[in-house]
Amino acid sequence: MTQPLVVFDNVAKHFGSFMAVEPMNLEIYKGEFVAIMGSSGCGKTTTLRMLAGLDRPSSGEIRLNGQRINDLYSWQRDTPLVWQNLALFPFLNVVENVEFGLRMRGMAKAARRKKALQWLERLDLGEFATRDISMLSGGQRQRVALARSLVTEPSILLLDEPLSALDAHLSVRMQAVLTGLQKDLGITFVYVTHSQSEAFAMADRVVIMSRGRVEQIGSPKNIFLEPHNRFVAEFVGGKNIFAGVVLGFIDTGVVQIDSPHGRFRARLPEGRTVALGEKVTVCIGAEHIDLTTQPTADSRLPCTVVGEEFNGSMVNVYLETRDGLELQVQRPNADYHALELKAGQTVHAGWADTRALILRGN
Amino acid sequence: MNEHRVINFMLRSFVALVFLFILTPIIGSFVFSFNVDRFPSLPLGGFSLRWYEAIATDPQVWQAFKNSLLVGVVVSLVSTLLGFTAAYTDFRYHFFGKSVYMALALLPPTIPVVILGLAMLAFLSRVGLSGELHAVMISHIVMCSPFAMAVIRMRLAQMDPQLEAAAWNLGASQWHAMRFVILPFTVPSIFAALFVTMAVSFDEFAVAWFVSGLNETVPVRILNTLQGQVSPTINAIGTIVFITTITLTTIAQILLMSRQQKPADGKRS
Repeated sequence: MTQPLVVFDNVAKHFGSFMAVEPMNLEIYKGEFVAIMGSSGCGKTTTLRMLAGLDRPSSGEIRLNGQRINDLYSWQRDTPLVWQNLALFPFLNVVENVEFGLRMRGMAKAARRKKALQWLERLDLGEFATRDISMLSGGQRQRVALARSLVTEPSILLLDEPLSALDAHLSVRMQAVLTGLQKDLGITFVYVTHSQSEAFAMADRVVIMSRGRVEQIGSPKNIFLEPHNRFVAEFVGGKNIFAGVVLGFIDTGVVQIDSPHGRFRARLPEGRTVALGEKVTVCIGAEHIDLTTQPTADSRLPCTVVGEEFNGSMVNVYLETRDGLELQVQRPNADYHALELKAGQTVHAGWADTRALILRGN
Repeated sequence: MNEHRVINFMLRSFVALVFLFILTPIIGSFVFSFNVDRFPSLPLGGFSLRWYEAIATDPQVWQAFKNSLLVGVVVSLVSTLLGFTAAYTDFRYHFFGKSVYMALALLPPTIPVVILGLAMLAFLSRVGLSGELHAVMISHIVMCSPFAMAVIRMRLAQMDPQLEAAAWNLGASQWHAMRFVILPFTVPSIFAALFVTMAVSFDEFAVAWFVSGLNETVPVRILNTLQGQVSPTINAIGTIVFITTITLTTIAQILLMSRQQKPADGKRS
């Protein structure tokens, strides 16, 4: 691997006695689209602000291009940020906003104006150059903020929930603009969001944070298929999670589990080892559970139907086992309807052995 | 419906009466300043500019105007600068004892002017400044800075605190952010503060009377003239002072009102 562009080396931040970010390690490479995701107060914005030079790490070291940047002020690093509320300058017009960064770098007026106009053109804002910021729509302002941050041609762009103020339709369109730009420019994007759909749709890698801790770093696919612990599994949703104890070893990477809901086999993720009698957390994706009206070889749990929720081509079915465990199942619309189930009716839930996954953590 | 009309009418009349009550002496002074008669009496004698000529040729009045103008300019510049720095400190920083700091910064206008005047006289004479024009300037700066701070602080309160950080993030040093973000944003309130403080200083009598000595400002000159004899020149001076002050405060008010339109635009973001 080449040298990472950004390194968080045991970086922590506390405000007084409040631990905003616990010691974290993260490497971000050139040209990567990294999303930092978590609910509010998880430390994702603080992490971004430390990278932007707006908050100073309490301990640890942040390196940009191999150089320690902890002690550099925000204006001494080239880490432009697209703010959640955009923070456009209301007393400057569109092109003056965009050329601000160049002006601060002492570029001559004609040259910086030319460059700012090129960026506006690139983001389809050419005709708005002399407009007041207050005359623009939300999506247009968004693009002005992008142009303002990109005009200095930085090697990294930081984005703090830039799409949260837009309606769903516009947000999806802006996602396409962002990924397109990132590919074209080949620069690194670090994108903070609470929205799983934004993170999973755009990012090459996702960092999931909770209460100041990094819970998992991985590709969207990796996070969805192999959540590291109960928090991540619950956060990405659509998972059935329960506790169990290791009863015995069946095969390489497959163990027998005893749980309050019965005994069955489960798969170990790569590199995870368990001991006999160890308490583990087991996770089964809602899309991996099959429903039949009669028991089959794969059937594990007889349940009653509690409710169903139509979601376009899929149906979310909510079941309850005899001992009160709630199960969430996702089936294609047509398959589910062929069963002709009604609320309160008994149904058999089953899954292939390899679909039950033992999590790395608990 | 009927009741509303009655209440409306009474409220309007009340406001009109209050204005009449406040403005009658000033209107009287204005009218009599153009009256040819020596003593203010009705019916009016006839239109004349003789009292304006009288003050125009009175070197003491000229000197007083010059003094007031000099004091006003210096005071408005210095107290606006002080007010700006205090307001910016409040906007930008959080520190232990900030509420005490802010209370102290806003304190001077709450002190009775006679006490302030006496205290200023006692202090300034001890440091050898009493009776100088500097003494009036220093006292007025103390009195005016809180007004400047209040005006500028109101404007800063409407500013998104992230704008400054956004400027830093785009490569602006703290000085550049001040020069290219904070100042452009606050500039209407800075001008308003300049005019308000100049008006306050131009008007101020009590403290100036204590510390000015022989360097009279206009209000002090008015009182000294009154003590000698009742002359209609007072009306002429009063009219000029009134017009000056009202012009300054009106300009300040217009600046402050135009600033209120901007945030309304910003709300749409």
